[in-house]
Parts: sequence; structure tokens; C-alpha cells
Amino acid sequence: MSVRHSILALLFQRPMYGYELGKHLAPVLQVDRDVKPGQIANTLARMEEAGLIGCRIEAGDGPDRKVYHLTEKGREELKGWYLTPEIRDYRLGDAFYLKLAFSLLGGPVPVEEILGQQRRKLFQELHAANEIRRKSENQSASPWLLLLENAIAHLEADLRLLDMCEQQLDELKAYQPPEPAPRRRGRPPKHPSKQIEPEQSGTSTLAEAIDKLRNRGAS
Amino acid sequence: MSIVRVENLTKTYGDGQCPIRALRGVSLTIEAGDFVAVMGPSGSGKSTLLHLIGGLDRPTSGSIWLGDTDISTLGDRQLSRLRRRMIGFIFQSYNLMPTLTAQENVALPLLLDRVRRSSALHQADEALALLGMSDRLHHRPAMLSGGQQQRVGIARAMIIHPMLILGDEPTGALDTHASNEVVELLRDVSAKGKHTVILVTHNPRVAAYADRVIYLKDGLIVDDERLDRSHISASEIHQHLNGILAAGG
Repeated sequence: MSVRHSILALLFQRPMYGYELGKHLAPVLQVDRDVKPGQIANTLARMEEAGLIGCRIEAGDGPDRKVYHLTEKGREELKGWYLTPEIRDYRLGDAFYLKLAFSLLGGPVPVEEILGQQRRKLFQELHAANEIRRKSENQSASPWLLLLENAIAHLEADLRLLDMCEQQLDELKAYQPPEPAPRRRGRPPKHPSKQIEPEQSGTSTLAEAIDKLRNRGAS
Repeated sequence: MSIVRVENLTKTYGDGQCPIRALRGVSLTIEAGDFVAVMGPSGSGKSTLLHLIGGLDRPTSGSIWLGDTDISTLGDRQLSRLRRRMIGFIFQSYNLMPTLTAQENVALPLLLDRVRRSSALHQADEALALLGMSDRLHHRPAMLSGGQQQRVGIARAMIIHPMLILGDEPTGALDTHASNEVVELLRDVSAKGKHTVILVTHNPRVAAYADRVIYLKDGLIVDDERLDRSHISASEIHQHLNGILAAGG
């Protein structure tokens, strides 16, 4: 989670001091655990350095405290963050994809068993999530409930993927990955035209993500 | 106590050139009060299994015990009587009579079994009330939403107090919201009435409501998993979702 943007979003409401920020994060996100004060302090220091926030010393009953506020730059940063769409990462970070791809080459356990383990765990999780959903039925709408719905939808999608794997298993087993390209001899070309692009934090469209996946497979 | 015991069940459709072996030796036991989902890719034999257990079709070999009756030995008349008295069916397309009201549709199995009309209608009212349909008693199916029609279907299945309720893709025609609602109702009502339920579904979300998921592939059981409900607490899921706080930024 982006603590930095959470802080910007809170400071947009009103100036706050560090301890206050920490206390406000958990209830907004409906989690029962606070972000560590140290992490907040570190982030605040870095944000101040970057000019995203400013601070004013305020004398109170106890020791003086630093009250932080949003700068114009911080406001712009927050706006940019809100308006940047979030697309889930479809790339190779998916650990199950690795297991599937390699186990099809042959491994110490049959693919079927890997699928079975995965399926059993996903069903347990989905069962649990369904149960919580039922228990929270009478709660009024909240972002947290939508996060739960999102988790359910993803578990469901993962289970459907396993179904597809099962259905296509014979073909998958027959799939032969292409041989790696032979090493080029001689001097490398002057313009390294097709290098693997460095990982970017956001992939803008699904089509682009899939394209990237393909390119990686080919290079 | 086991309600259903299936031993070495096979079913082959067609013969000669290219027979289709829908089930290739399935054995399983289902305990009273269980809520079981049968899953699997299409063509895995899940509907065939359900039809055989419900006596809608006959196995090629193997035996099916419902309670202490081996239904593979029953004659057609005995079998249909057993179906009518002991098994409640819920269908994907609801299979309600379009000219009858909700109340009459639910009462139908009792009327066919020559229960007095007033008593049958009264019992139908009670069954529909359990499913939150008291204000729809006199509506015809066409005036009801899909979710409501399926609730009528469930009430009709339950009215005979069956030893076993079988559902063939009961949420297949419903959107996500209605299908959640229908499965949750089915589970609540069946838990209250201590009914045993077997659902065939291709929808993982629906299957995950069950206490047990049986996974079929190519006519064989490849997985049989009991889903544990006891350890679940709201805080646990909270912890799951709390992962978002753990990954600092």
C-alpha cells in the first residue's frame, strides 16, 4: 500500500500531526492494525524533503509538535495519483504461472497434483470469504466490503483458470516451448534494438500487458 | 448415517462405434445433512452422476444406495414413487408450471400424492414463507424474477421433506447477486431442515458455499475436499485483507 499517498489524501482533509495521521489510517481503511509510527515518520520526512508537504511547529500542552499540511506540489501529486488507473499485474510475477509452466516440462510431482493442491486451497479461501460476506450482510455499504467482493471475484477467477487448465491438460502437456535462440556470433549489433524493457510500475492496458508477456516469451 | 452410497458406478452412452463413457467407476458416500457441490469441467460426468443418484437415469454398472434401498434394482414404478416421495429436484430452468401460481406450484408434489388441497396449500405457504416469498404467493412464474422463481423451485423441492435435494446448476440462469442469494437461502433452509443437498455447478463461487466439494474429471473423481467452516472468523479475513497495510510504500 502506498503510505505516501494515504498521507497526502488525509492531509487534503486538514493539516494533521504525525500521531494523528497514524491513528486515522486504520479506520478509513477499516483494518484493525495501525501503520507503525516509525514508518509514518520516515515517510513524512521524505515527503517534506520532496516538497510534497510542509510543516509548522505548534505549541501544545505537551511538547511542541509538527503539524503537516499539503503543498501545491503535494496536491498535484495526489491528483495525479487519483487519476492514474490501476491495472492489475498480469506479468510473470504470478507464482502459479511459474509452477504451471515448469511442471509441464516434467517435475517431481505430477501437474494434476499441483492443480489439486491449488484448487483445494482456493476453495477453502473462497468458502471462508463467502462466509464473511454472509456475516457482513447487514453492514451498510463500505469500501472494505467492496474489497471483500473483489477478493471473492479474484478467487473465483483463479478457480476458473484451474478449470481451464484441467480441461486443456492433454494439450498443455503436449506443448513444446520453442528452443532458445542460438547465441549470435561476431560483434553485437550497434543498436541494441530489442532489449527487454525495464519493469514499469504500471502497465496501462491489458493488451499492452499481454504484448509484453509475449515479447518476453520470445526474447 | 450415510444417505447416499454409490459404488463403482459407470455409465456409457451409445454403443458400438464410439461409446461415450460418461462415468468410469465412481464411488462415494454422502452423509446425512451434508451440503455437497459437484464440480468439474463440462463433459466430466457431473450431471450424469446427479441424474443417476436421482433415479432419472439408470447406470450401466455399479450400485446406488439411497438410505437402505439399492435403487438400481427397482422397477420403473417403484423408482418414480421413490423419486416423488424422497427426492427434491431443483433445475436450472426452474421447471415451474406457467399457469399455476407460486403457491400452487409448490403444492403440486403434495397434490399429486393426493394430499388434501387445503392442507397442501397451507404447507406451500409455510415453505414459501421460509424463503421470504410470503408476498408472492399468488403470482405466476412470469411475474417473478429469476431469483424468485428459483425460490419457488426450492420451496417445491422441500415441501415433501425429502431425504435428499438434488440441484442441477440451480443458479445457472441467475446473475451473481441472485445466485448468491439463492445458494445462501438454500443452505440456510437446508441446514434448518437438516436436509442433505447435492448441487452440480460449474460456478466456483456457488460450489464454495458447500461443506464438501467433489471434483470430477473424465468420469472419475479426482478430488474430494471438505471445506472447513469452523475456523472462520471475521478478524481472520480482516487479517487476509490487512495484507494491504503490511506492504509498506
